[in-house]
Amino acid sequence: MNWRMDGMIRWQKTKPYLMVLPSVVVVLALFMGGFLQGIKRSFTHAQTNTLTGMYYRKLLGDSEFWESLWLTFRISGLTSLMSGLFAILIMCGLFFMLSSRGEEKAIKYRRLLHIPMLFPYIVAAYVIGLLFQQSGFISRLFYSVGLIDTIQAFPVLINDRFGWGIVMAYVWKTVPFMVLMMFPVLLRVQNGWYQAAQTLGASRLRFFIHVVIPMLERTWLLSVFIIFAFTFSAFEIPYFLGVTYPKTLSVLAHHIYTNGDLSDRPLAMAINAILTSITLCLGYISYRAYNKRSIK
Amino acid sequence: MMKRNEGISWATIYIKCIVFLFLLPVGMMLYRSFSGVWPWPSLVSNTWTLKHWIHVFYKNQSTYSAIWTSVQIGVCAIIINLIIGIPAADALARRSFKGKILIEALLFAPIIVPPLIVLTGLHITFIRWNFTEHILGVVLAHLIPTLPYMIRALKVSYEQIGFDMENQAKVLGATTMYRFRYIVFPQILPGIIAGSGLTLLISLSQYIITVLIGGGQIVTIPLLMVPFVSGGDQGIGAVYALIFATVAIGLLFMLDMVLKRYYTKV
Repeated sequence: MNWRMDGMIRWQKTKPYLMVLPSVVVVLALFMGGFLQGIKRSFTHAQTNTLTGMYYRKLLGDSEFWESLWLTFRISGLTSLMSGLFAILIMCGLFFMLSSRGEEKAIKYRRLLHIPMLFPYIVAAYVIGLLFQQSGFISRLFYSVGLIDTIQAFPVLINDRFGWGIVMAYVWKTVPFMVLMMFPVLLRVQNGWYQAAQTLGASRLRFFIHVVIPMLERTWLLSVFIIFAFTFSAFEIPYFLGVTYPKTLSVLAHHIYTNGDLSDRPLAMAINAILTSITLCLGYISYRAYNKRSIK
Repeated sequence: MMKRNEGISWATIYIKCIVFLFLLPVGMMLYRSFSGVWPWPSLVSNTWTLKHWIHVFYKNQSTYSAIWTSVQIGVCAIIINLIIGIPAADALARRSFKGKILIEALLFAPIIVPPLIVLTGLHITFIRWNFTEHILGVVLAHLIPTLPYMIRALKVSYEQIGFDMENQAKVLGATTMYRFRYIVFPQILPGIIAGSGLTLLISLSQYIITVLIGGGQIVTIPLLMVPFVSGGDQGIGAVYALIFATVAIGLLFMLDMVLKRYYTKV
């Protein structure tokens, strides 16, 4: 009888590992495998196959790399700040609606705000171009109200050196994600709380600032961090809406990898390794910040 | 009372403005796909045409095969994700074991680490395994960005249910398969639908993974769009963008219907 109990316990202990095994194998083989392969290559000399740090030295001494890093930081920073701001403005409106018109109406509008998530990044790049090109819709709008009188007077916002087009395309795609993350928190605000605050003389806006915003803070911070980390190494939008110089880091890595010169490939791997380390650091910081706030 | 009503309508107008701002691009796509010659300063197009739609659906046969390839890849990714994701989500949601946090971090890492970073390394591995330029390789590569979302969606469902009902059925002599089919499955169905929907959306929108692993041989809808993103005929680009939305919404709607029918039947 005893050995049977032992077997049962051992089975209960190993079962969860067997259950996660297939997923872990897939992620290890595809994700970690690709990752480690890349790291290995970035430290291997392309001709002699010996261990070398020369690719990293070459990168860190190259001004194009630093310009790309700065561009990437600027784009991600602007995107996450603008998306974060938009999300707060939308949450404010939805809260006003929720507290006066009830849940159904607010949910209807929230659904409409999710629509941009249905489109891939490539479509976002296309449609932002359609709107903000020099010959685009916004430029026509400016002309018709008399703000500009020639096509050249409209600023270059697509394929521009600053990256405005990229930021706008990202904002269009990421704000719905923020709404998705934050709306459930908004639903947790009880009707009675606002009524109680109202009897104490608080306006709706004051209640939003002092009660709802602190509730949203944790999710907001996490979402902004996710957006920052993701856009930091995302590829497609800067690939379509960027310029040849400076490129974002991901586009630079892809360019080096596919330019045909096999001896340059370890450089692309080194850029990817640097990108991954920065992204993982950001992920770790956001995870810590999120948990710290939950204890408080 | 007057004052309160005024405040209410302002909130609605405000939200409507924001919704308008975010849906304007979608409206533009629709408008552009039907507009003909549209010289710069005019705000509205002076001719209407179906030529972009005709070009995409009659003159260009690759449209149909691209839609079919996209759907095939998406459905295969869903099936594999479900098979490996269901047990993993169960373990993460309802069982405690050593190293759980580590495994969870590993499984969710692809959410914040975009696949491009591992893609170059994966490309080299796949060349060795002879997986490139084949649909199977593309499906496998699509698992990277989709599996974390599938597991996440299933985990939420599993967290809602305990072991009580399963144990009761076990006492009554139900086999493992039977217990899964009649007790667990109906309860995690919302998670299955949500996870499948996310998998599909993410898989459908992959561009660089498909290009690099498929070597240009596997053509999906986003690949057909490329020539029209910057430069090229904007009207045709608009049609492709709308096809994408239609396929995505259509498939999500079907998943939703399955869920609704299942619950009304039960």
